[in-house]
Amino acid sequence: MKTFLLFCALIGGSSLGEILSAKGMQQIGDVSFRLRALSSSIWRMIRNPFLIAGVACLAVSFFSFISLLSYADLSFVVPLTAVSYITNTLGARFFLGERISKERWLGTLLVTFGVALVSLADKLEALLGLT
Amino acid sequence: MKTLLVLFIAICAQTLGDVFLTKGMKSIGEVDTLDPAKLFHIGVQVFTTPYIWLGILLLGIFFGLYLAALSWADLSFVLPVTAFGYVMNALMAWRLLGEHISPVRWMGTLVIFFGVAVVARTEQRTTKQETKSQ
Repeated sequence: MKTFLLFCALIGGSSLGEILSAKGMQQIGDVSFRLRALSSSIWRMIRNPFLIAGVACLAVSFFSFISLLSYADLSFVVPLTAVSYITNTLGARFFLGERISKERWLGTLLVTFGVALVSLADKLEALLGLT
Repeated sequence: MKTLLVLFIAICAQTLGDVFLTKGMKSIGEVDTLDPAKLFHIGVQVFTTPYIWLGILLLGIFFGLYLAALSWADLSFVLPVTAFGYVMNALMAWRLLGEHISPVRWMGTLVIFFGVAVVARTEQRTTKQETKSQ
């Protein structure tokens, strides 16, 4: 039960945090790296409610992650985080109004699958007797 | 092109930042206590270790550049593309740290690389710009 709640906080915090941060940055507008424009962007960023809420959610997600790591098996926790690529893309579609083309979905699913594969590598190899 | 360049620099900063943080934390040793006095002592050690400061600085640079990219590109573009960090990690671990990378991990890394390549070719911004007038 505790693990399930922490996992929900991890994925929910990450998705909500990413979406709120992206929303905030859309409001800030294109960041330029020229000094004067940059300092004005930074000044607006630290006062943007979406961005502040987003960073707070990402912090919640991060602390859920390290709490999980403190007692759960790494090879159990990390593959699950690959799911956040899908939840974040769905969030971007429904809350930010981004158009996700078939090509972008394909790439995102490949990334999700690849991340799960990398983090499950040890377990899979033990299973297949490769090590 | 600007987005991919900014994200590439961000990912380099993140990868290096993780390496320095790991180095710093390993030099402190395993945190295996919940005793407040000992935890405080470890906290002091953490913030007086130069490697950890360097790691935090690099991760800060990563986050700043990541947010900058989000200001002009889609979240659904930026997020999968930053997964290129897994590819960088595997290459760094292999070339610099001399770690053995198992076949399944190479396979996963390759799949991520293809996924990133596919997403990187899509249109970077599909929403209208909604800059608030100040």
